[in-house]
Amino acid sequence: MDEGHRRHIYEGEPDEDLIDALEPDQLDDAMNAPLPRRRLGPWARAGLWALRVFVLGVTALVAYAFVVSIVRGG
Amino acid sequence: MTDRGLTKARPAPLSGEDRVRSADRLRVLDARREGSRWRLLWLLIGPGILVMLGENDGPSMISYATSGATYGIGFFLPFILVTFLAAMVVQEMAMRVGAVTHRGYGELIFRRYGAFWGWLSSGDLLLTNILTLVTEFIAIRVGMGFFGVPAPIAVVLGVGLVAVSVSGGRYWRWERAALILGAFNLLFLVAAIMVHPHVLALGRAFATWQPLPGGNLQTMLLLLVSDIGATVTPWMIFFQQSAVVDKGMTPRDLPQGRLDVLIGGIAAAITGCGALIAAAVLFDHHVSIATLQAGAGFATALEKVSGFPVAAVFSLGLIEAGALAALTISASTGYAVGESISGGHSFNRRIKDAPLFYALIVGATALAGAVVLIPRAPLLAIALNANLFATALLPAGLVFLLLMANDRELMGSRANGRLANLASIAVIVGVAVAATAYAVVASVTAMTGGG
Repeated sequence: MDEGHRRHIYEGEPDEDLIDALEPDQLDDAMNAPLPRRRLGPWARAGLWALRVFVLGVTALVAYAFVVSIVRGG
Repeated sequence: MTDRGLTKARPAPLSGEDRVRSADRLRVLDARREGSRWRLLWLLIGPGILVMLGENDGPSMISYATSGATYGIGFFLPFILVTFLAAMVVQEMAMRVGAVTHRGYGELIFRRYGAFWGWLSSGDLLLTNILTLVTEFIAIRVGMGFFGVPAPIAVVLGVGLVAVSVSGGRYWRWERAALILGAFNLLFLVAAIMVHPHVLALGRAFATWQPLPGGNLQTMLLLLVSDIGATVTPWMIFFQQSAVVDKGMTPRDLPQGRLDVLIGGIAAAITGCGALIAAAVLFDHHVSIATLQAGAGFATALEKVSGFPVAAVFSLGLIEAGALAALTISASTGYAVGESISGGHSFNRRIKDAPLFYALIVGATALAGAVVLIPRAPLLAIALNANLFATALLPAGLVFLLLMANDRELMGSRANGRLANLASIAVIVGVAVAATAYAVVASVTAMTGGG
């Protein structure tokens, strides 16, 4: 590929060259296409419920510590 | 992609975002065709280095410096290296998922795991990002304050930098500007060299992890978790996966993506250790950490012990650390919210094509800057709790990243192997234990009125 040709396509034309530079599912339109929900087994669902409990518990502790430190004039 | 089963027919018209991204991709294809390995690497590095140096932000560098000033050169020096190894495991997965799926982390959570986790993740990120951005402005203010720059000017300069950086209408320009700024993270290495550390002590610390930290268990635990929180955080996952998508990386770019993460991790580990080593001189001179006011007094203390040049370099480093993190963390905010509401979320779009994305980036930054200027604002509480929030909620973020990286419907043959899963699970367990310990210690301290 000579320098002149390279510069020409970098400037944005022709569209065929540009479109070939992207994978089909990299195009704006394809990236906005919906994805199906993932099906999870019972163990994975139980794990995610445990994760919810963990996240909410830890968040409560952290939020409490944060509020106390602000009230004390942190 | 042929192994994901999710391809669809190519639409004929190219959007403006496609046009900009494909022009950048043509350069990559040309470099690959010409066999120009260095040029290919140059074109493809960016997200990994930025995410690692971006996480060497104001509070992180202060955390490393506090470790050095409290315990000297010893256990925490090799510990920082281990935390960066953990960060590299996580960020390699984020890079790989982004390059293979062409979807950001927030979007994948929403679409594959539902609205509860989607909103929880992006809501958590928004909160912790704004808190962290406040700490970045504290760092910028402290750094500039050393040179006599008033706080309002420091804040205006910080917000102005973010606003200018997003005005290029192209991911490539934003990334390169941020990389140039990131190079100045090496100032912490310069500061470390300037204090003439004992080479034998450095070698002994890396070889034996000695001396171990002693004294107050709570202080040691808080620094331990703070250093973990200084290296692996939720915004890093959001940012790198989205940046990889915005850059247009594909599965063919995975080797360069991994090198990008490796280079970033090594550079960030070196500069993180640099901050610790530079501040360890305060330990050697028995300067009490209690006098350093959560980092604000480091430069002044270093000036008394090592002279103005070291203090000036350290202050410049703090300014850079805060400024680069303001760029990357505000970008991760724009990406996360844009992905959550399916709005435009790309630096390859013009401002009028993605107004919310750009407004969020500049707005979150301006809000954080304004908080720093509020008289008697609880800045110390925010600075101490920003990392705490991020670390506490990190395990959930890591679990979903692991689920995505093992999702064969999305990842096909690029899904995690056994080794990657073992390393990731070890990181998740380590972070969860540390986060729980940190949360319990902080809340007990709050209940008992300590701390």
